[in-house]
Amino acid sequence: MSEPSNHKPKVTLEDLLRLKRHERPPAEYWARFDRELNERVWRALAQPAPSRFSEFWVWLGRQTRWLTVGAVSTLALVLTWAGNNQTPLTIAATSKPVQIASASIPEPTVVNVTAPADNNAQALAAVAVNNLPAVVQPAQAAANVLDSANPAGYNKVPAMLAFATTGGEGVQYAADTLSNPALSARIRSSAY
Amino acid sequence: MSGLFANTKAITSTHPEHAAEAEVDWALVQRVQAGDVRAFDPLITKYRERLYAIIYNMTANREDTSDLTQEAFIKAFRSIHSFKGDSSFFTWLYRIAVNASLTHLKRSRLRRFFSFDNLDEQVSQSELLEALADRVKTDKPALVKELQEKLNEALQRLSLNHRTVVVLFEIEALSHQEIAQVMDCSEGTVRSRLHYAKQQLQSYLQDYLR
Repeated sequence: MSEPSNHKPKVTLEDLLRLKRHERPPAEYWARFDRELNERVWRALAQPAPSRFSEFWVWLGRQTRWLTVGAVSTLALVLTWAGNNQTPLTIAATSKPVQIASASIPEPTVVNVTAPADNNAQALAAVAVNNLPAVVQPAQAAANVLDSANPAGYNKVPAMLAFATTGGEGVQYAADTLSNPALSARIRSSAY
Repeated sequence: MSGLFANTKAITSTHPEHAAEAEVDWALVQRVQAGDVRAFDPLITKYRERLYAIIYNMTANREDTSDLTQEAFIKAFRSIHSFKGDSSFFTWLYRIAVNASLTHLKRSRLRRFFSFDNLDEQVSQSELLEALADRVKTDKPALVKELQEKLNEALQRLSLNHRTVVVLFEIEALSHQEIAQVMDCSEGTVRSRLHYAKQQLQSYLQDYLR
């Protein structure tokens, strides 16, 4: 540091930068460093060094990963769009009655759920995929016994079709277990 | 130059101590290349603090520094057979460390945070800090902390290349020639980057330089 005799010592940029030579970890840090490095060396020795050939495939894999993600996203969008645009004829043609494994289990009623016309986001989420037939897994269906009472203005689907736990306007869902037949999803159909 | 460099294109270092160091290192490297892997240990012990310092000053993060320093040694060990003695071992090692840091910094541009090592106790006793504390009217412990943050902040504002030359020249005391070898560029490029970087740092740190 330059020190003109009659003035306060002048601080230079180099002086400040050289301070950084004194920024260092504590002495005990190096024992841990050596230990960790030793472990890494043994691990590195256990693995073969990547060859240029394998590095090429890794690189290619990285490039195609994004292409795959793009392709899958596009396919999902196309399927969703196709699902949204199914006609009543296609629905009727594709919907099937529910098959129950055990003979003692009453066959639940299959109800086709239509999409709410006002595109209510919550309702859409609750319905999951518009116009898909309500297909019930046999084991789960066994837990659902739909009561015959059907209040006016409601369609019922088995509780396990409650995709969302909160319903939007016009949609109410049972929150509880499937083993309680009294609990079932009710969808107000008249609003749509 | 000793006979060890007879078959190599060793570049004369402007630092005599570096030249002597290079001879010792070359002997150890040759032993490692011959199969005596334990000969790599003294090289680690010798250079770990210097490598740590370079990487730390480039990244300003001690956790990353730890990782990257170990990674640099592993890379050096794995490619020890490719070292032909064209340059000194430490410039070759420094290049691996600098490249590892640059790759890491480029990759993690968006999610970075700083964590600093403590300044040595002795620094707080230095005349420099006495002068600075008097100038900025701050007590020394607070000044040390403030200075450390400002210095690191200023360095991080530089581009990667400019930061590298400043770290290697001002902090690690390498010559322009050695820095050119590490960064694989010409000495002229090193000088111009250094000049520009110092101008920038002068403006960032002017409060402490008046």
